[in-house]
Amino acid sequence: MTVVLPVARTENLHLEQLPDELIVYDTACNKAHCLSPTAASVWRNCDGQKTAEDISVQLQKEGIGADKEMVWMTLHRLSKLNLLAEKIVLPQNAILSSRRDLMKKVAAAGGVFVVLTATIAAPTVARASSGGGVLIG
Amino acid sequence: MVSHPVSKVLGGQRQSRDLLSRTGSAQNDLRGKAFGGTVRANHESRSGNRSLRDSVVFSAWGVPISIRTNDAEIIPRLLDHLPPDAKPTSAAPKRLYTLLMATTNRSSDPAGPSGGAASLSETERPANANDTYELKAGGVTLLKTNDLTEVLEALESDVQLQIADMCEQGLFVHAGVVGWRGRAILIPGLSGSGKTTLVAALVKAGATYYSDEYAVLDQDGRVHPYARRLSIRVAHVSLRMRCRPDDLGGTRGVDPLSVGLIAVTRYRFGANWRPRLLSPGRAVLALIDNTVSIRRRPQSALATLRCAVSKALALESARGEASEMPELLFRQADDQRPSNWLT
Repeated sequence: MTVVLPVARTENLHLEQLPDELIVYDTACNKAHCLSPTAASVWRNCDGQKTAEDISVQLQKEGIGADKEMVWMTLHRLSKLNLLAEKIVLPQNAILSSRRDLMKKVAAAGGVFVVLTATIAAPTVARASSGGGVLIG
Repeated sequence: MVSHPVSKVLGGQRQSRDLLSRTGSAQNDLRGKAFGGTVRANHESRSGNRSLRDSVVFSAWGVPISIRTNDAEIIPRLLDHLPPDAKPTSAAPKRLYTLLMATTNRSSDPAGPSGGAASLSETERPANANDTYELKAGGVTLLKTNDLTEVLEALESDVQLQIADMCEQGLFVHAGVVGWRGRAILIPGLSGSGKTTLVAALVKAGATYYSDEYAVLDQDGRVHPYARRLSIRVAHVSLRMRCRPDDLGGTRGVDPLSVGLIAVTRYRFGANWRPRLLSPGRAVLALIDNTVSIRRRPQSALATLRCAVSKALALESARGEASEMPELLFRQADDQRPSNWLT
């Protein structure tokens, strides 16, 4: 069985740490992401040395109640946002809970931060004047 | 006060949108004095049937701009469309505009074909259906029209946008801004979202006018005034009324303010204000969506926006009529949660 050791991407990213959340601006595609404390902590622990289970243990130490399943869900989201050095493929049986149960876990772990990540396409000069931004996810 | 007659519809197009220019001859005189020395003869270059002799060279927010024209008579009106705090400059312009006027059948009567010259001020230029105006920037045509007001508004809009993008002194976020009890209320939003109408309502209710177009943020996240004339859309018609805050019984802000409330909203008929709290991160995303130069300088923009939201309450909701909003927003601004929005 292949062991997945996720690595956070570092190139072409500008980071801005807020009190709890992390803003990540991707200059490669001009998108801005807001990572919840849970997602930010998972991403920070993607150092190529830790498995999903290791990351879950680390998060517990940080006071974030995220189990292995939630970590896999977050990794999957980060991968879709292209914030990992390499795309990851979810192992079979990585996520067994229903979507509803997963959302409950996210809410339980995140408190008021019920959304793991939010993304917006950065406007061009002209569009910033006329507006019309779309919040993605 | 200068009143501009509504221009006739030309070729079935929309009417002149500048119903009432309220800058008045006094303000034009002030600007004329400020710019008199820089409205200068330029090297002649042939363009159309007149040469480009006159130019206005100014700087606003550290961005030097040059506007050249072959029609000196429109200079007073052009000055009226410069951005707030524009000052003469000798710096090399970063953006070059030309405003060309061509006429095919100019009336010999100085009052113009409509007559009634005695009722027009010296800055008034009779409309002539045969005048064509072409606005260019860097050699590229932005607009060609018979409507002088339309071309001046297009020029104003493009100048503003270029300054907003090129300015290094501040971060321009497309937003309405008012001051309320020493803090700023920011209303980020797109054109057509109703923010000017909302800003006007807040000013009428006692808030201090900062801008209906841009929140200009310094590196500490404070908002500086960008107090252009409000451009209020007249209901149900494609016309805009330009007015100053004192026309609404309000005052203009001077000092930079820290942000107290960010109201992410847009008008929707029949909507009720039912705000949901935005996290600081979501508030930053809402501001990013309206930040003109975010792509050009994301790192410094993010740092500025972080400061701007750090002590602000951020709310999001659709809204109904603007007249219903001042009390609601003022109450939110007064009754803020602690800076740690989680508690």
